[in-house]
Amino acid sequence: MKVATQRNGHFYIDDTCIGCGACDHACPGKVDAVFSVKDDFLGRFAIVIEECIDCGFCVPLCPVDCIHDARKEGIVEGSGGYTLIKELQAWAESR
Amino acid sequence: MGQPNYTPNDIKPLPVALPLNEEGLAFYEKKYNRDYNQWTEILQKNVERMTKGDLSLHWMNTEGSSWGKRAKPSSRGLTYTDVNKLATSGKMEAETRWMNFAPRGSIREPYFDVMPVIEDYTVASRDELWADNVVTLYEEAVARQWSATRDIPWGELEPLPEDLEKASCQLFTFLTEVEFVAGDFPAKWLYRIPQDFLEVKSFLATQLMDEARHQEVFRKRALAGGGLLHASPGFEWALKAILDAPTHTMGTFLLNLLGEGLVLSIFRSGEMIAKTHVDKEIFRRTLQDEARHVSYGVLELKNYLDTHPDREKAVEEMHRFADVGEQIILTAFTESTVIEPVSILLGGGLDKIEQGLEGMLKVWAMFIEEYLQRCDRAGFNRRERCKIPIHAPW
Repeated sequence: MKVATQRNGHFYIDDTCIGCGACDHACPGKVDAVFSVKDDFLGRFAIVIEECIDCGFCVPLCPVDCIHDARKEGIVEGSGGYTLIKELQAWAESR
Repeated sequence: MGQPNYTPNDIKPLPVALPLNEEGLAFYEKKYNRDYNQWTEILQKNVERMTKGDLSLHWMNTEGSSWGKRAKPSSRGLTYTDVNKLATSGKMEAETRWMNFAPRGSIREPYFDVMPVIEDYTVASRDELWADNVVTLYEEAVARQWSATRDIPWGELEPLPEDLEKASCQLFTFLTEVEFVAGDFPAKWLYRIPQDFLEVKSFLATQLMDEARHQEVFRKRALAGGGLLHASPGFEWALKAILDAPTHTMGTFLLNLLGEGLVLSIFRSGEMIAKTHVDKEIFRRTLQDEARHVSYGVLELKNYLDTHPDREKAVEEMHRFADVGEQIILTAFTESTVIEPVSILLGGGLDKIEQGLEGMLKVWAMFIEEYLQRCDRAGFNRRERCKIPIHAPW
């Protein structure tokens, strides 16, 4: 779910995505850059950077602000409450 | 609009011995045979025209409309986003005066005065229910429907040790108990929303279907594992508080943003809570549905506050409501019928419940922080006023 170096688009979804899919249908016209990550238990979405045209229509639809423009923000890690699942996962793995 | 004005005095009580349905039927006959006479005028005109052998063909007149512009599909088919680009789809007004079923975008203005009014359509303001993501969430909901009968591998459900099975069945009893309020609440408001806000009504209809399926899958899981266990008064009061919310936005906040957010936190922890791959599949599927409801709740509150003419007042009213709502939700979240089974499942057995309670501490922290993050996103800062302790009380 990270941005690759070779790309057309600059938008990406960080790992705090809750999987609501509001972004999935935001791409305009024949663009279809957002997809559900296969086999991800949390149902998160990602952006195919080769398909993304940088329209940014998906950004304001996100309820957790997890879609970023790499040109403005660089590559940032997700932050806030939705990162705490990692602590529970780490606790479970440590047992 | 030519509607008769009824007062309670117009409704004469029928004899007690008369069945209630006859009383209701008599009232209905009175309204539609005597008072609502506009429909009979329409009928009379139609009969006269047909008797003369005349054609109307007025419906072929497109004057005043944007007839002729064709909707074009996007990559995912013909979505509401695609068709709403057209003027023919009709502009969604901030306040609608169309309290009937005349479709937005149709040629309807000439008929305004002779159409009936649905008195129960009381939510006339777009900003009492709109969320910027409601259209795409609806499309997503429709695309991701699933079947609790077919899509869960029920035949592969293996029995668990008794303590884990009872904990699982209690958790699924809890989820069965809470899920259908998330159906009843949108149902209560769906009927109060005029047709011009069809996208919101459509999304709420998907939420109803989602919750019916959740109630179904949790009930089936409990029954497949031994049976339903204990109902909980603490949940019941929280659910009643959601249904009794005075406005759609307040109730949506309490249900979608807080209550369903709590449930979403549990589902997201499903990989650690579930003790069978069948249960994991249940959590995986339900969390996707639940995420849509949470998502609508966040942006609905954001839109309400952003568009309110007196934001400060609106925020304070929401704070007053949240002060009560959070405490009632806390009543549910502290019930032993949810804390203990989840802890047993996290720990791996009744004898490991102490370890499980450590995991439950993390679930609690996750729930609160996720909730406060959602409030932040909506522009509603609850961090200083939140009535739910940030740390679990053990």
